[in-house]
Amino acid sequence: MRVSRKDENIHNATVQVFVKPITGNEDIEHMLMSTMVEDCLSSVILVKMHPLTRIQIVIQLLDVDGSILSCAINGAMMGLIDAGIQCNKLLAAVTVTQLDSEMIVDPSKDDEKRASVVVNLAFNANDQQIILSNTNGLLSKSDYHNIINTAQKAALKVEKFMRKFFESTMR
Amino acid sequence: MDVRRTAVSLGSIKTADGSALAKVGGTTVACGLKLEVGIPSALKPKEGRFEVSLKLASLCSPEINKKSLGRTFVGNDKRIDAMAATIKKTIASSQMMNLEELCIKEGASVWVVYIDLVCVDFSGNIFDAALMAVGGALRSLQLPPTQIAEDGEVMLSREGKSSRLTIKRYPISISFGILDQKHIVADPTAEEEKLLEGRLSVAFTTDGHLCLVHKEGRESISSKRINDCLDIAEKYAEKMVKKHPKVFGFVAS
Repeated sequence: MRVSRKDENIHNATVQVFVKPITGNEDIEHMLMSTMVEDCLSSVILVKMHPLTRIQIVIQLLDVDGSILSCAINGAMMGLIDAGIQCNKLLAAVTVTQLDSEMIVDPSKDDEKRASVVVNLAFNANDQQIILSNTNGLLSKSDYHNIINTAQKAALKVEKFMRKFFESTMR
Repeated sequence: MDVRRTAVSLGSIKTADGSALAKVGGTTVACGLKLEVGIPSALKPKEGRFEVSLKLASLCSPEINKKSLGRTFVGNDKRIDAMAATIKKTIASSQMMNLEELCIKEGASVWVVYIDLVCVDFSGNIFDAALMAVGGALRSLQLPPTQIAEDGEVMLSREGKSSRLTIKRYPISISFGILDQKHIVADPTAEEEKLLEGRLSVAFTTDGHLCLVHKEGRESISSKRINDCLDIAEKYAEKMVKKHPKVFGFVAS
């Protein structure tokens, strides 16, 4: 898309992400979500291939039932692949909650409400490095280590699903 | 990994219900709290609320609104709102105050605390200064005595004492700038911020719990490096309690 004068960048494409809630206007939490998704996607899109253009990603929240940030990132990632925008790696995002010592991966809304800690993580599929980390709630350092380990395993599954999906649609 | 000199002063703004001014090196953030009476949410009828807003004053930096700094925080509204949301989440996660103390009448009236942060001098790393300013301002907050009229309206009463919030713990953050795969800088200055590819903010509370690990930006980072940063942040939080006992030390209400 053509980028407006104020956003244009002569070297790179400009990546813009908008997160729109089901009802009402966007508030600062949606702004936070959109900057987080924008950062994740800017790290994978090869922006140098399309200078002076805009890649606009709109995330319309339809039904929020927990794990909304990971869902948005995974969905946007698959959307980019579907659009044919060149990316240098695959991203997989996971949400993990913890209540006492019980961890739940990909929680529902009720799980998130009951949990004491909700952590959103996004990983590079190849080298398991962390692109996004966002925590809510009080936790200890060792809790965080365990959550990262669990999330890395879950991210591998998300990545497998993405690959399987695209391989089957290519045929 | 060193953080610049910090300073916090409480109660500097007399017209606000609570205020503080915090400095990290040259970066100065002022926090003013304003109390208003509001209606509690139906799901939590006994709890008050707070809203955080962050603004960069035009005088904070000569480069504000310059297009070349589109990627940094100066002049980019969406990222400033996102930072305000992160500050709000950190305060909520840390459970530093008991929101039930803000209740005036259950189900009818509660105090809503409007936390307004203004950066008056930008020299890199607003987040840490802002969080310290909020902690100090909440400590200095005085809740005025109220009485409820017959029609349900809340009025300030002349008798009774103002009360303070009991604050269980303060979140203390340290922000790291990720320059590339090998280099991580603690407490980036304004010049370093222009070069950053990623940021990591870690907040520990004064009693040793981790309440925020917020990594954003384009550059990815291994979990080992995050763990190293967590260790540094933990020691930093302990150091800050000793350094500013009047602000972060135990409050006897």
